[in-house]
Amino acid sequence: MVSPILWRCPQMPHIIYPFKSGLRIHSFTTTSPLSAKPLKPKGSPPSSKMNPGKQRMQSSKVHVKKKPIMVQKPAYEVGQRKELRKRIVLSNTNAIPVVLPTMTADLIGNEDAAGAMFALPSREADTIVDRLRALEAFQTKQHWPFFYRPCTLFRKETVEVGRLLERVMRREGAGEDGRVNERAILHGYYGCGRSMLLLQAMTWALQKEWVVIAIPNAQDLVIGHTEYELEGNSHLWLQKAYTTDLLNRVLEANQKTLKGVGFPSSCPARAMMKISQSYRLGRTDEVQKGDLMKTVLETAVLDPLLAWDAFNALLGELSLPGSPPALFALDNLNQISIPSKYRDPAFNAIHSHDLALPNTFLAYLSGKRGFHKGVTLAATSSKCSRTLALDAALEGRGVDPYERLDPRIGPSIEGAQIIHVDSLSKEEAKALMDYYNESGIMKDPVDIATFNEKYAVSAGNPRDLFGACLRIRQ
Amino acid sequence: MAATGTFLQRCHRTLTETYRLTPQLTSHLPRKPFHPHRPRPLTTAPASTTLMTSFSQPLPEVAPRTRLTPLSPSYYTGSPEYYDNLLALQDLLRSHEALPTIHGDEAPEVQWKTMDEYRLIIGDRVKPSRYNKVIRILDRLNRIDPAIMPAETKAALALYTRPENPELKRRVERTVDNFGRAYAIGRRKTAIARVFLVEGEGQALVNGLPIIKKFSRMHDRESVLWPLIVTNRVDKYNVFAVVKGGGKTGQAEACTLAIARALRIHEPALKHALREAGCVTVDHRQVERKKPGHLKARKMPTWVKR
Amino acid sequence: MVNLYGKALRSFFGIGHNVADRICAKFSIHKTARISQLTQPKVTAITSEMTKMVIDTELKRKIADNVIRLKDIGTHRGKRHALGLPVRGQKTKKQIVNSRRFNRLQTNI
Repeated sequence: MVSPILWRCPQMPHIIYPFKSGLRIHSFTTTSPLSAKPLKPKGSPPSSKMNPGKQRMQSSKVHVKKKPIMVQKPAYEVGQRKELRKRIVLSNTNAIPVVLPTMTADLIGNEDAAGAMFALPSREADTIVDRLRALEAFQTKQHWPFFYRPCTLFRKETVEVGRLLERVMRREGAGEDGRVNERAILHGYYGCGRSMLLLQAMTWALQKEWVVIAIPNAQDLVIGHTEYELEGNSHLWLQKAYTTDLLNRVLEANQKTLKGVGFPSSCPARAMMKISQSYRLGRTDEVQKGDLMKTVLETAVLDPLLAWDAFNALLGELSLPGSPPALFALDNLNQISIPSKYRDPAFNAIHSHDLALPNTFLAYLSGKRGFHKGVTLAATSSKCSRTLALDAALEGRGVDPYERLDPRIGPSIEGAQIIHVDSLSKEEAKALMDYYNESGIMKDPVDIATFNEKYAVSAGNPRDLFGACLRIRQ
Repeated sequence: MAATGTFLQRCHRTLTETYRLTPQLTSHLPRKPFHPHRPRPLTTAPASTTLMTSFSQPLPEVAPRTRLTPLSPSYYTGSPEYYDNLLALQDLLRSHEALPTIHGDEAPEVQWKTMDEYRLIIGDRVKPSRYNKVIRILDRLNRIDPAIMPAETKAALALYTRPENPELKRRVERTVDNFGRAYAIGRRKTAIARVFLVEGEGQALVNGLPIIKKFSRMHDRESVLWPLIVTNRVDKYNVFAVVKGGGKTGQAEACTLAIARALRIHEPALKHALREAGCVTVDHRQVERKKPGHLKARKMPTWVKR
Repeated sequence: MVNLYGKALRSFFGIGHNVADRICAKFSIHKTARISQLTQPKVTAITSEMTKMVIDTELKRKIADNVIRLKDIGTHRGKRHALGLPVRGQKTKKQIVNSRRFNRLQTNI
């Protein structure tokens, strides 16, 4: 009995299907009411029987083609289409709910949990999903609209990511000054789940009341679509509009932490929420020691001129002892390893590393700067033009004198741990496919032969596995 | 057996009277015993000579019909020898059509006489299409269950069979080698794939790379593994393929063919399943060459009046 | 809501993709910027930059003057312009529509 599933799925509202061939629209009648012939008006009975002569006369008239009535579609407002395109639908009431354990912070670094599905904390219990949404951790390409609620697969790479957080929490390998910084890059083939691992890291970090700063798509920084201006002292290019947006997201996602809620009054982290020294904001403004960090950020969000300084103040505070741990995440690292689309006044392309935000992130990634306690996590992307220098650096290849590689890329990721995100193992794939099956994605009942086929065709790649499962073979 | 006699007689006629230069006509007049080897002129003379030359003798009985009719019903086809032969075979087939048959793959392997040899029998230029027509009938007759094949058919088929020459036997039986590998080659477009298939747990390496790195399109991966998927043996074999030439699609489909062939070495019984899935048939199409005066192989530039 | 790079700058005769790109780069303006988003100093700077450039009517007149000069000193090119024929040695058997349209002594300013 699969029909209830099939009847349900196509009725999902406002969903853009990533696979066109995946689902057919089923309706209860085979004929569309729109394409049916209109009913004849009752007022004029057929006259052919009564007066055949008249009929003939009528038919000899020149036939005038009726103009089709154009139904004017309501015009899109400015930005509406972009909003629709970027809209994230996280739940689908037509899908079958699957009972799964919640992805709690207890699972950080738990090896035994690997190979099982977990649900993200539900909205009633927590606001984690909303906070993740504020950080733009969910992406349109990740098939969320097909399921009742967001769930993720706990993989062996998830364990590795969890280890990073765990080491920071346990203060393993802390230096003399008590600073712990973990830096890692998630790297793998297309569709292997790097962005999803970032999401899992953010989930845990938010649950543990870390301060999470996330750049969801580094491409936005380099394609020349936001304001930029040169900052005289550092010779870096600031992107104030983007920084304002970033602060906005940080503020929304970390409300609780920034208020100091959830920390005991004796906790130093609570004290950190008050600023420990005065900072200049913009040309004129200044924040005094003892001001709330939250207030500073709220001020900066309203005025782009203050944004960059406020962002620096936040990072500065996070590097002081007693501050809460921080997670600094960036997706699509490849995008900031190539020249940006921005131009300097002499019309030379600005190197991405000369943009202030990427520069700052890479400083944290390469260990030039650091939090007091923090994890810096980047994910590579496969939707980017050739980044030979980055590929070479990720593979740890030595310098080849015949290769003209960008010399700035290698040092920018130096010392970061590279987590190779592999294909799914059979156990992981089985867990995932069971979840798909229970959610009503699969048309036919799943047996081991089907699993073997899908696993072989997708070669264990999560994105392709979903594609293979969703496809209905004719 | 009467039937045997009939066919062989007819065959004998077609197969032996090949050196006849003129068509052979026969009338329904009472006549002398007919000697098949002696050519007969195309004339109505015999009857009239009798009338003209022997006035003194009493007139013979009036013949019921004086028109001469051809001996062979195919006389007017242009190549009566061929058509006589074909009709004989068709008759034979028709009489045995109802007999149970076996699958073509299981039928006893025979090599029919080549077209040149067949031409020697018929004594005339036979078009390839006509030769093929005969071969098709012979193939069909050969598929009659050997256990109950009539002697007449056996004798008829023997006429068209080449003597067996073991040295000329083209097909070499391939087997799994000492390491448990089955080796096969497949070609498609300009790609050539060499595949080693071993029993294993379902890994696939193409040119030393995991299959996902070599074929990033899922459709191509499906093509490569298709023989294993349709036979439900994805997790039973490991594939090691070396592909060169061509593009992604060609390479993937060359692998399909090679894997299917290698799989047949491991398990010959899968032949039918693989054929049903279209994995065994060689697609020999190649890109058509570009011609001078054309923009592509067939496309012509737009015609301009002047 | 007028895009500076896409619409505003390139509406002038003599400013195409390349020049517009360079003007934007000179004043550090990104490509999707709208005129309404620009600060007053930047607008002033762009205006003063453009007053220094030879564009629009001025440019058209300059081109026309060059053609007339060629004609006046009696060059082959000048003659071809006057006849409305191709100037650079093209064949005239067919396809000279553009030459007829553009090769004139007096351009319509």
